[in-house]
Amino acid sequence: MKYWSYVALLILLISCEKEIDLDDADFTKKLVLNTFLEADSSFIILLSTSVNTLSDPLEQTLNGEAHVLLKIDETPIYNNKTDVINGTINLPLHCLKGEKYTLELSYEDYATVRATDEVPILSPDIAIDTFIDNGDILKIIFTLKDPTESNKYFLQLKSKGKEVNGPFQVEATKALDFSSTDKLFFSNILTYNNSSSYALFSDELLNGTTRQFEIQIAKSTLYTSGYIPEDILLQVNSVSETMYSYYINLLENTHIYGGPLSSVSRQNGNVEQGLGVFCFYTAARDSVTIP
Amino acid sequence: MPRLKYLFGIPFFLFVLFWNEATYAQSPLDIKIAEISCDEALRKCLATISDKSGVHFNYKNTLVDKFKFSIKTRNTTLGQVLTMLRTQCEVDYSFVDSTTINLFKVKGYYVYGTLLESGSGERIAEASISLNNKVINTITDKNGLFRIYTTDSLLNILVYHPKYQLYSGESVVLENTHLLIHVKPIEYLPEVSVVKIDSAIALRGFDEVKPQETDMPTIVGEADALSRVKLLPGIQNVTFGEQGLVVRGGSPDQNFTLLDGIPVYNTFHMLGLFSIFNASTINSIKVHKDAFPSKYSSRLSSVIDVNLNNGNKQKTEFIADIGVLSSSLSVNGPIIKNKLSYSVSARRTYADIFTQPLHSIIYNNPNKDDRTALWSYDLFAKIHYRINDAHQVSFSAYNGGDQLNFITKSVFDDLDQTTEETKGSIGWRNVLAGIQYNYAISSRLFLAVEASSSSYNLTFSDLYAVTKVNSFNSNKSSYKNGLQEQRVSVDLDFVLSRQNILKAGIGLVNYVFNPFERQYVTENLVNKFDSLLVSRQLTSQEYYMYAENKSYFEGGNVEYGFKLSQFTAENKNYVRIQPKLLLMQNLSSKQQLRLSLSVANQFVHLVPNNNLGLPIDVWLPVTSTLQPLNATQLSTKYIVKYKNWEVEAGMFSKFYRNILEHQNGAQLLTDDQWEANLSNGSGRAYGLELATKANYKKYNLYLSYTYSRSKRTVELINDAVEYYSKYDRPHSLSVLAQYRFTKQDKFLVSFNYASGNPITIPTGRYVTHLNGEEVVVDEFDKINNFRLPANHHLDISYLRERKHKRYISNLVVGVYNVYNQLNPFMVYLGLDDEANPTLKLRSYLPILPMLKYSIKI
Repeated sequence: MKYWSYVALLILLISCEKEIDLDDADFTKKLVLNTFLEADSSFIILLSTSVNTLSDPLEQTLNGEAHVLLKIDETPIYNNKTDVINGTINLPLHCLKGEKYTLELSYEDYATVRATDEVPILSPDIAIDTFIDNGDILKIIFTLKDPTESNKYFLQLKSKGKEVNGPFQVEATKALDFSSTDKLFFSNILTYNNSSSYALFSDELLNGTTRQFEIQIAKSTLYTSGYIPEDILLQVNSVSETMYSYYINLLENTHIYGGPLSSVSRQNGNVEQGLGVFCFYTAARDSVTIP
Repeated sequence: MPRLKYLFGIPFFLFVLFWNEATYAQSPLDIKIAEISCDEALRKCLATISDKSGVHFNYKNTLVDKFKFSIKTRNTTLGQVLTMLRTQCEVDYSFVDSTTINLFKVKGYYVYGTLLESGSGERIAEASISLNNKVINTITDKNGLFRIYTTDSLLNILVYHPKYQLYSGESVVLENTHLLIHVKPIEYLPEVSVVKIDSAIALRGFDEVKPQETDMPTIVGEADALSRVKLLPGIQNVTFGEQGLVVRGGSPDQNFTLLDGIPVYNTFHMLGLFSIFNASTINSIKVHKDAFPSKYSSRLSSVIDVNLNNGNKQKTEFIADIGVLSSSLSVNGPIIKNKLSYSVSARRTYADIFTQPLHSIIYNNPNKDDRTALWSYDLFAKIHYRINDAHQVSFSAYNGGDQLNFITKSVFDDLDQTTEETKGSIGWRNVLAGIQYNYAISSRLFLAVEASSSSYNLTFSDLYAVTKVNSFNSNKSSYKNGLQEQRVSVDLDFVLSRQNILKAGIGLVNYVFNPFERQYVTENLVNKFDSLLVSRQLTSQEYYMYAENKSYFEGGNVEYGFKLSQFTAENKNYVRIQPKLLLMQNLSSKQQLRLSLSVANQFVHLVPNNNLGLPIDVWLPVTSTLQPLNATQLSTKYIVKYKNWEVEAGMFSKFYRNILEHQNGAQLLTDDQWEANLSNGSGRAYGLELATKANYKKYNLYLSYTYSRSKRTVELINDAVEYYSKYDRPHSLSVLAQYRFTKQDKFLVSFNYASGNPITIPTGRYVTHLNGEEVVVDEFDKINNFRLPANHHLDISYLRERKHKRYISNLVVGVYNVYNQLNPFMVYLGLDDEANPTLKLRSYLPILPMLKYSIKI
């Protein structure tokens, strides 16, 4: 009896797997915009296309000519054919704080895409107050002054230093992982993960006040083989609502996809007839030199 | 003078005597008929009788045209011929004068009765009652009550119930007589004791399955009471390996599964492999797909009414099962003989226990551990107290659940001595208890009072940890969802008149929902973050009253009624009326036609989940923004019996309103505003259902085929274009064939086929950027855009029953999925041998042996 039970269970436990055909008749190639622009910076549009489910989207590079129409509040400010070089379009324009831009872009036979977003006016004031070397852990205490208006923030931490390659040293900037116990960062999933180099948060808990925050960096993540860190850069971006919701959605999709709590989730970008996002942010920065 | 008086008196007495005798001798009833032979329409036979006897008949054409008369005799009288006429054609007579006879319909009347178990006095439902060797006249209801129309005062009553000895007896009855019939249980049911009754088609609007009387192969031989239900036309599994039943294209939450009247929220074990209902514990299962009982019309697809055994009131019985997947023990017997009985059963699967040593043998690697454990258990208990013939009390309880645990651990041989560990678990628990009091106030009025509680909980946890020489990182998340409900109801069954039985009742249901409780813990050597997100608790109440009447007419009946419900959701009250109409008409003793029209509303629902991952059940109520689900159903069925065959063909059409779907781009329960991620839509389902069963000598055959479609339209999904729902499976075929070698040895073959159902897979992929890094994103342009391959499997088994001195044994051996069909359990995007993306199908049930041995003492 026991023997047969073992045999039966052995068979039961062997899960079988096979490949099945996928008819991609429903698939339509779409243009993808990846445009995350800082206020007062040049208009650089990253353009790509979607691929069918069983292809690798990283392998494509677009080159050619696109027709770009850019408007501020429905008033055209740029309307020209523009080169697409390795998936990048450079416009001879700068994006201005407080302006509402609408982009219409055509490329080859793809459906013309259209997206609108507004450049945030205000950015927070930030200042690194204290830097503490606590053995294995580095601590940075910084102050953030939140404007009274509602804001959404994207915090990034980077280290600036030199990559050592034999006798040569090359300047390099690397994302730096940090963690924090501040409940402000509990607003999304990845900020609980201490291996993250960025955090998304809303200013609902700040409510126009000035607050100090402490973040910790494991020294082992800063000092890696072949790299000499010099400065730590703190950047807090005030992001548009579009960019915030796009990132939140992206984090949730990439974090829980495939688990039992996952559900079908279409990435909620703002590109009509296409995919991706067209959005803006303003940035505030401070840095500290590593002793 | 007194003597003189006697002298006058005697002649007077003799005169009267002989005068009467002379009159009697001259009665037309005594008219001699030397020979008569007639076997045709009554009208023609009456002409023949007139020729032979010289009498004239007056009658209405409508009275005689529908009868046929048969007689062939010699040396008879007109009186004897008229007696035969009354017996065969239910036509009575009266004399106008010595040569003229009026014919009229025999006056009949209803006889009432109650069927009781001998000794215990327990009422017996679903027994067939036949009168005077005719086909089945009626079937006892749940109170053991029956009513029969008859024109005879001397009745030969035959009672058939598969669990009781055949009863045959004569009774002299008058109008409104109430019979009490006691039948004895069968101690052991040998094949020969099954009496074949030439049955007419029962007038009932539901399918009934008696698990202990039905043989069929199940997955690895599990005694699954619902396995036979899955073969009924219009009923399918959700998908291979998923939980729940799909009835006529509706989602699993649209089925109201009741255990002794108590709602069950998780009806399947082992990710849907078999149901929680152990066949040895279950008395009967009634499946309503059309015009549900008004009391339970708060789900859209079906009512599955499961009844536990009350327990034997005479002697203690043990039933023990040992199988490949699980073992169970059932005990039932008297606490107070003939009064108080109990029934208890317990079952547990042991795949998790046996896999541990197996795992050690297969994966003998100290640096790598990879274990998955899946186990289930269920406990049933019932106490039944028959206080006297009028009062009964019963208490039913169930505790069951499933647990899936998975652990992986890898120790790397590197300088940091890295150890990577994952732990995860999903657990389902359902606990319910209820008490039922039945009071037969009179032979025409029955009262039932019920109170019950049911709770359902889902827990999910996930841990990922990396440990190195100088560091430790772990991320842990957990999730809980649950609901509790309490319900109280008072119901009355009232026999209003000869033609009408009224059911009415009121009830209250209190729901408490905990949509989610989500905890995140992340920890390293320096910090520990612990956060808990708890959604607001939702409390809802449902108040209802219902009334339904069953009216009998010649050869049929009609059930009509309504349920009026008020559901409070937050600060909003929803009032819904749910009418029903069910018409059943026997076109002859071999043909029946059913028509039904009903409206149902549903106030609680499972959150739809169209993902590719594991199944997860989250129950939530309607809210102030999400309207109650609604379905209107029209269905018809035609049943015909021909010799050993019974064939049924039906059609249905359903129209849904306020069906719930997840919006494109919405996550499942990640924040407190979960209802904002759901959209209301409309839908429709329609189909054709065919089934046939045949019994011929040693062969039994059951075959069912369903063609059904299920479509939905939701404004924010698929560009508001109608799409096939997740539960759309156009073709479904089930075949079950049985061959009896001997009275106790059977061979069974079953085959099941079902079209694949639609699931959602990405339509494309693209690159986006997050913090400057490239991230590949799946594009979900449409939902339910990919149809899984069809699934089908052939199973064979051999069943052997043996009666030993002290016990009865049953053995099931067989093979499940004989030709090893890889049926889809889940589909996911993976990599092929050359690391190219590919769509992969995973199947968990290849060819498997069936083995189950049970003994009954």
